[in-house]
Amino acid sequence: MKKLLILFLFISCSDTIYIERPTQEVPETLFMPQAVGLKLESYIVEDKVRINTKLPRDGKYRIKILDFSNTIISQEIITGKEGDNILNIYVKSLPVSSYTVELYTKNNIFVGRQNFSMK
Amino acid sequence: MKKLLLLLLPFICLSQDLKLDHSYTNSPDFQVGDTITIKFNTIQITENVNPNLYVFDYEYNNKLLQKIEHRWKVTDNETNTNAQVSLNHWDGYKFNFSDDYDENDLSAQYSNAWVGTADSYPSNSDWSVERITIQDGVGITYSNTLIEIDFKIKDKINTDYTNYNNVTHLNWMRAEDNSTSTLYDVDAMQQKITLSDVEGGDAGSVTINLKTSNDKPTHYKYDILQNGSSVADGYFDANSQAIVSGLENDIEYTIDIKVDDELASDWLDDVATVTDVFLVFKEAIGAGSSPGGTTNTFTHSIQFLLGEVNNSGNVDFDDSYVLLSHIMNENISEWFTSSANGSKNVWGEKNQYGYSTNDYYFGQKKHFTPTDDTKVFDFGHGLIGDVDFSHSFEPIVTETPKAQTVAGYAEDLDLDISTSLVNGKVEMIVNIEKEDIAGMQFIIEYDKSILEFEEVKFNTGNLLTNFASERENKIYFGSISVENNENIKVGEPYKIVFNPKQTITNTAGLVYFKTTDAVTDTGKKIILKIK
Repeated sequence: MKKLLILFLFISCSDTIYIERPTQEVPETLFMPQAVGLKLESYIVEDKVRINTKLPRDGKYRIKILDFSNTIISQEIITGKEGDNILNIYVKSLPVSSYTVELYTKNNIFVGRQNFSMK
Repeated sequence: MKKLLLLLLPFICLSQDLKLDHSYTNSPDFQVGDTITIKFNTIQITENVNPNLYVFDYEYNNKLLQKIEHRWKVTDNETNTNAQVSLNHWDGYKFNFSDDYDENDLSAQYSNAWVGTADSYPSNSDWSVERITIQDGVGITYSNTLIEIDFKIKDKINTDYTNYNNVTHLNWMRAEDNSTSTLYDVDAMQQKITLSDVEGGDAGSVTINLKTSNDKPTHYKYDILQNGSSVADGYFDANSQAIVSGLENDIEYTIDIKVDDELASDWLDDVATVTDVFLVFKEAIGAGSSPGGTTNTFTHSIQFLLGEVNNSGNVDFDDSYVLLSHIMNENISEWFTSSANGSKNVWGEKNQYGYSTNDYYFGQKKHFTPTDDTKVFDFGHGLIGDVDFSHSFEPIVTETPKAQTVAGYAEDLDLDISTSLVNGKVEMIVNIEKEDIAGMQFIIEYDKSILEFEEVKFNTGNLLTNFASERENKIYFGSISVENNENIKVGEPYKIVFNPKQTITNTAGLVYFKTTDAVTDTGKKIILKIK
């Protein structure tokens, strides 16, 4: 009890303001046990597929889509927050094929990779 | 030490969780022309390993086998009726196995030779690759056939192969429990298939090889004529080959090779691009390797044929104007290759193509004569308007030793292009850092069901000619400096703006880069590589 009171006293006297981050609900299919990385909701895709980009910190990141020969055919720069970020890969305009999705920091440091095939 | 190794051996062997097998279901012996069926299945090695995601690549020798069709079987078993399946196909590639791992170790090849490896699939016209993806909510059952693929056995007579050894390879496999992101170790049961004692073959088969830098050989058709009457016709296959039967030895035939304009409608407008405009302009003004010079820019005489796009009989400033109008979406001539004009074809026997003689105008030797000893013929093909040979065969350099090829001049340039969601709009920004670019052209495709094109914002410099046009779901844009010495400004010369028609979370995949082309102020072609 004494410890609890001391803790309460400490919190009450502290100038630090704790901002609670809005947490994004992560569907079970996109849950990632790893601290950072990339996960796709499905590996066979028709129009679009949800992805989880789990980021080490807030900032700008690159989502690259590469074709069979590992040539970048589409690239997005996103502003992400630390933790889970549920986004989409829109594939309707892409030729039916198999692709690799890669996640990098803005300065091209690798974070994660997955691949998917189109129906 | 030996004892320790012996003790460890069972653990090493037990590291694999499952095997992938492929085998033919037919009984040998085989004849040329027979259809064989190859089935794929997995075999359980370790208990309680139940992957629900399979992704694997295999490759087959397309000179010896011709794929006919495939049938999914995984959904026939009672457990996996709801499995999702996908098969993707590429011609002209062969897997580059990692030497550090056994070729049978498919999961190691996946992790170390394919994932993130830039040269995992170098070009190789003898091989075709297929990627098979199967995912389900439950474990994919073992021992049941996943897929069956039918192939026809081709005649090896006109190939470099002396037998049918190793006509297929399993390349790599990813087997995963997707619910826990657990990857499993996979080995190959039979990694390669050999067909023994294949008999037969038509000694009268004649092979026509199409020589073009275009990666769409199946869009090209041939017609073989004897005394003006057609005796055989058809399309080239994915290996740029036509195997023709029914011809006679010691008879001279004529061949017509043309692009099927309907099949090619998607790429005919990409043949003449900003590099072609720039090269024709430089040739027309006699600039040579420097703006003040008087030497030729063209390095092959056939470029005078490919660059003559207004039927005037010579290459001059008007030809560059015709091509410039084309990339600005104005069609003012019917004499060059475009979607509006159709293909304008030039072809000739490979060793003659491009070099004029009294008999063959610009080397367009269209005859061939099969004999007992000669049954393979190569024909180069070009398209009017394509002076940089982006979609044409570049002549073999024997006529002018000092001439340098256009490809030899090309250099690579890293380019940063990306899309972002900015204040509710989708913006695509091109970022360049090279200072001597005199011409640049992009063709991008976008998802028209989600995006509406708004505009291209140019920040290229004051004296450049900029262009942008929308055709179907494509945007053509770029710049060229033709009448002055100003180059494209470094920084962010292009910003393309789209309006979303619906709420979107982000932009990945909504816009993709189809064609990029650039040329320096000295006429050097730039191969743009997006980083």
